[in-house]
Order: sequence, then structure tokens, then C-alpha cells
Amino acid sequence: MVTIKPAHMAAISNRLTPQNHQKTSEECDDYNCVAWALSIDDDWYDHSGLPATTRPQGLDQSGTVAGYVAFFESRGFSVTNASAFVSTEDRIAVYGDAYGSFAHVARQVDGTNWASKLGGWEDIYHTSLDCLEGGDYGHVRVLMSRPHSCGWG
Amino acid sequence: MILTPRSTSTDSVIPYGKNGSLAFASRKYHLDAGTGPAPVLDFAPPRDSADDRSETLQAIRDGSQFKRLASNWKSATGHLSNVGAKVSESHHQQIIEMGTAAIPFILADLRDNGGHWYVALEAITHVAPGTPEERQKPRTMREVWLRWGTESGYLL
Repeated sequence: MVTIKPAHMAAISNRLTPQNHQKTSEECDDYNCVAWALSIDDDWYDHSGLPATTRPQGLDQSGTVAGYVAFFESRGFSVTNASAFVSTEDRIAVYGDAYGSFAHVARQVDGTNWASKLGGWEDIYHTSLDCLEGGDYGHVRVLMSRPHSCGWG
Repeated sequence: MILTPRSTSTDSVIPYGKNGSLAFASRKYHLDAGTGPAPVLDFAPPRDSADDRSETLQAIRDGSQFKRLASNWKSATGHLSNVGAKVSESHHQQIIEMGTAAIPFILADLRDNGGHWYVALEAITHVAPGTPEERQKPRTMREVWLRWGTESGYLL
């Protein structure tokens, strides 16, 4: 199984190990985790409005978990407590720090894997949500789901 | 009693000013007690030797300082999605403070390795190239800046 660079693993979380993830793309800064959560690979969705980013409709400028949750709600997701895979649903996990700032979002792929774009670094599949926790991504704050292939993008 | 900076001709100089200008690393302060001759308090750090300054300038010219700062910046922020957090990191700020000397190195790194260099480029050059549509996506923004670098002679 191919993994990301050891230095990248160390930078993200000491819970991320060669045993709980696999690399699914090389480094690429064409898109970020927010776009990738919506299966978009040519845009960098960000609240900042800084150059080379898109602040999509429905995303406010707060940079908070609440702001990103509202954005994903505008794309058809709703908050849920369930993390188990359901083939008829899209599911995402929104990470944030202790102060309520948004940090990361992962998308569920199947009963085993979650997909994450690590900033401008690699894409990975990871077998748990907590293997990205404990570092700059903080912790999973909100789980959200929507009917699969509902066409919201 | 007021402490005020007093410029002196012997202040040591380091080339880390805003937008590439030279900045003074040390200042002498004099104690303004209102009457009598002002006693001078010298808070200046040890002065750099001419050799130290020469090495610093050489590090800017040959790109080694940029490479060190860029490597540290990318290691610290490459995994972040939040571009505001990326560009407020200290090594990125130091690259902006290198001023125009950094432009060729930034553009070459953008061409060869990618990276979210656009805020630094705009801060240093005061140029915001590209159409609103081009400016929204990293891929098109990169193409715009590399074209600007070639046309302006910074990127050979």
C-alpha cells in the first residue's frame, strides 16, 4: 500500500500511520478538501476570498465550522449522528479546532474508507476519522449526509 | 520620562525591510529627562560584522535564503485548506519582506513545484493580473502569473 510522505504524516497527526491510510493522488494544489468533499478537482473552495480561491455561494466569510456546515447544508447535506456507511447516502465529516474554526472535511467512500484532500498535499483514503485528529485539523465536529447522487454538486 | 529612538550613522543594517528596502536592526535610545544632558542608553544588539552582512546578502542573491524560508513555509502549512492561515505564517511573511529580490525565486518555485504563492506575489509586486474568472482557480492563476513572469523578465 502506498502512503504519503512520512514528513506529511507527521505534520498532520501522530495518529496517521502507514496502516490506516493509502495515497490516492500525488501532491496537487489545484483543489482542496472542501472542493474534494463535493468531488470537485479543479477549484479551491475557501472563505477568505484571497487570490486563487473561490468563495462559493452559501459560504460565509467567518471561517467557522458553523459557516461551513451552513454551506454544506446549501448543497443538500443535513447534520446527522450516524457515521456508518449507507450506499444510498453521501456522508462527510467536518473537522474543526477547539475555537470553532473550520479545519478540514472528509468524504465517505465506502464501508471502509474516507477520502481526504490534505490541503495542497496528497489525496488519501483513510480507514477512520480519528486518524486525522489531534493536530491542526482538530477533531470531527459535525457529521452530515444527503441522499446519494442528488445532483447538488 | 520618554524613551525615543535616535538614528545614528553606525546602526547595523540587515536587508529585511518591507518591499525589499533596507531596515535598521538596532537603534540607540536616549532618555529624555527634560533637563540636562541626555544620558544615552544603548540597547543595540551586537553588531554584525561586514562578513556577516555579506553572507546575508549572498544568501538572498543565490536563493538559499528563499529556499530555506519556502521549505519551512510549505512544511508548516502545506496540509492546510485555509489560505488565510497559510499566508499569515511567519516564513511566508519573511519571504514577502524580501521584496522584489524574491520574485524570480517565487516564480521559479511556482513553475517547478506549485504552491499558493499568489498573495506573496501580489503583496510584493502590487500587481493583480488575470480576469476575475482566472483569479478564482489555482490552475489558471498559476498560468497567469507564469505568463506575467515571462513577460516582465523575472522568469527566464
